[in-house]
Amino acid sequence: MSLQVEKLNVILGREAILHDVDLSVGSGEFISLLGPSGCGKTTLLKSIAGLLEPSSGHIYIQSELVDLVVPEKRGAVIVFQDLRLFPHMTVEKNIGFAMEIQKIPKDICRQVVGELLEEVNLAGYEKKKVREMSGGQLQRVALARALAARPRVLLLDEPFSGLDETLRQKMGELVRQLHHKHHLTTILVTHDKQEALRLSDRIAVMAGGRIRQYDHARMVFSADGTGFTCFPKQLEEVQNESAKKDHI
Amino acid sequence: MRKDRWRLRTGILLMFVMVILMPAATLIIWVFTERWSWPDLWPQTFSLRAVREITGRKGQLISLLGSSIFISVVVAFLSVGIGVMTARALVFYEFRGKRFFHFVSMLPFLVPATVFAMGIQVSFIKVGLNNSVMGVVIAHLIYSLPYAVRLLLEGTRAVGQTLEEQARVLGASSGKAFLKISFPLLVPVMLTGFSMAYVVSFSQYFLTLLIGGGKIKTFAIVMVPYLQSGNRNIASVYGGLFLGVTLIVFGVTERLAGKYSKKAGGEYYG
Amino acid sequence: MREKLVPYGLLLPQIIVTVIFLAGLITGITQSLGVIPALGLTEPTLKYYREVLSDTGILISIGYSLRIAVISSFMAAVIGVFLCALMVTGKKTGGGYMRAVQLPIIVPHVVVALFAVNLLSQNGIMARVGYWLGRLQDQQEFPLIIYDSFGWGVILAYLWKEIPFIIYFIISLMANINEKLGEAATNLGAGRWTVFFKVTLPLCKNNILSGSLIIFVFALGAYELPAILGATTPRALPVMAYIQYIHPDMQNRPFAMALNGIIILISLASAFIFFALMEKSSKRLKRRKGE
Repeated sequence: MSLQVEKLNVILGREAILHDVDLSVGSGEFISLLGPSGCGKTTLLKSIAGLLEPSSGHIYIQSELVDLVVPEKRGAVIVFQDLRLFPHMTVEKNIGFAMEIQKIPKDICRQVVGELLEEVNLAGYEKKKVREMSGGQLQRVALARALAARPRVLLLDEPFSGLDETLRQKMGELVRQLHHKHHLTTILVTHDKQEALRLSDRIAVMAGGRIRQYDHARMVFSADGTGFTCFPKQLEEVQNESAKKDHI
Repeated sequence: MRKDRWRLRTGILLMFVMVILMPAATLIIWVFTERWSWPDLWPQTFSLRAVREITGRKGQLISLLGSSIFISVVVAFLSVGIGVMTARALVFYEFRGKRFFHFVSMLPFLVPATVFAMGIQVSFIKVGLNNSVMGVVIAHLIYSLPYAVRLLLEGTRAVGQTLEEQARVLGASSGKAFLKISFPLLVPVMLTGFSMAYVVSFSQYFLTLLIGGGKIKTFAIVMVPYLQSGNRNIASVYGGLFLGVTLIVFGVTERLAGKYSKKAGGEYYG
Repeated sequence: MREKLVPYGLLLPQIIVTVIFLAGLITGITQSLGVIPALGLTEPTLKYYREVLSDTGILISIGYSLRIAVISSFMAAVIGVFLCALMVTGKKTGGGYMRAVQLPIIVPHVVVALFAVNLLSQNGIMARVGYWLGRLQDQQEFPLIIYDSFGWGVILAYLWKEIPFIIYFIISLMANINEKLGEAATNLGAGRWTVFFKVTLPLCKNNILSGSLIIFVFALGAYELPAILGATTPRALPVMAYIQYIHPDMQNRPFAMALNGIIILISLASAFIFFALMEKSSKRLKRRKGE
């Protein structure tokens, strides 16, 4: 088991966001975390990475209990929705950041950066500044940066938002390729059912801070690929609940 | 109609600028004035006497410059250093007494330095800080720090914590994340805080007068007697030097801030 | 557990500075109540306050100081906000104008005193212009602007510095609001000045008040300008306090402190208003961010 989340409860401020979340991801598996906005997907990712402290529950990464391990030592790398590229650094320095922290010699860093840039189709962009690049390019840089950190678990928080449909699909394929090549245990957070179906081995359906269903992609969807096969009524209820809350 | 309004607006603003610049201009005139008796609108005689008198006492001038600038630079560094830490605590953490700490950090804005100086002198005398540079630095620091904290609260909020979070998951400890990511992005606002804290300290008169006794001399202290005795040209030379040094400090910090802003992508400070 | 202490650790230097500050403040207060162990006075008493407040000369001084502080801070706020509005609505918030605004901020008060003497004294530039315009013959005919008993010279000197301070204090907030929310309001059909009065100004109100309070307290308690530009009677409160303070007869010390105490009382009253305003504006921001 590459990642195991056991009965995780997370409270932010006064609100309970995650309720008894159980999740396990096998080594090299690609799963999607699917659900409406506000259901706790980002909170779950942040908890796995150690940026948020759970009120109860346990997290195991590669069978190691990481509850008390600081974020920088967990090996759970997040690619955030807002990318968070370091504005005062070039592409090269951004990607090489994790390696610099690990004090890896500069020539090896340069080599790895070069290879990764090629993998994401940005060969030659080493010295470019962040503000000179387009959205799609920046996302590829963010991906390369995460890969350079050699994550034990790769967490992608809706990384393709803001991209048009074609670019979205291309990026999805790229992620799938990279996942395959580097044998990365990957969790992709998305609200796009098609994307989840297309890219992942298993899908975890999340709503109201709980995992409602976790199964192989084809089992989660009905034959025509539209609705959910199991617990559709519950999902609807939760969606109505959150709609009511927004109205207030 | 629009053009008239534009003219009116520009007219008012230009008048405002004139009101600001004119007194400074008279200062420059007085520096070189030997005799300017009533009722002429222009001095009768110019000379460099006042300038020479002051530059003639080279040793005195250099030690005056030295002590004034040294004190204010130290105060400015301390203000920014403490300000960064205080701002970080107040922006990123929730804890008991947070509002109280925020309030007291701003309190010197609301208690005049005269009141504080007369209140603290006795204690400073007791611990030997009176008539000392360190005592003056501490007193100045109390009144410069709130300016730095105010500016850094804004800057820290603007930089935020999101980039540090990213650095953490990529393997950086919280210290490294701050140093490599947030700190470079805070440099422009730190420089602004530096210049503000510097100016407030450099301008202090009463605090230096009381806590420094007669021993610690700064530009402000030296200038006032000449002003009160009517020696306008000498007072103006000191005033001019005062302004000159301050403008240089401001100019330098601004250039540096501009350079760093560019490096950081110019996003945060627009 | 250790994580909970981090913010306090970060605040340690600030706490040290604050403690020293409060020490000065509290000593001032206790001494004003007559508690000066060094002089053998250990009984707190209000007699120094009573004596000070029943002295007409001192009451006139209080009036003088308050007058200067109130008028200068009020005018600075009004004129400052007005000029700031001109700059913001005219999109002239950068470059030359801001540089001009910054100049008075970096000029120390003692140099401002020098300016005031150069311009406003009876043989100053203004008087000479008056002569050349044929309005007066003799120096003495020029009205006493500085060294007068109302305090106009001091007020004008404060205004030269405080108007730019107010502008500097609020311009970035004002420009920000005017641009973002202003855009939305204009989109909904509001004209430039309507946007300013109905959207921008109310949202800047707290900051304007805070800025005004800062300069009010400063004008109330500062020494330099009234000492150099003020009349010999009435004297400003801080000047009187200082004269009592350096009096060789130590028995005068509590009187000096009582005068300071009056300044503190007025200042602390302003501090509470300040705190309440800060609460209001931070509450409003919290609501907007939906925290």
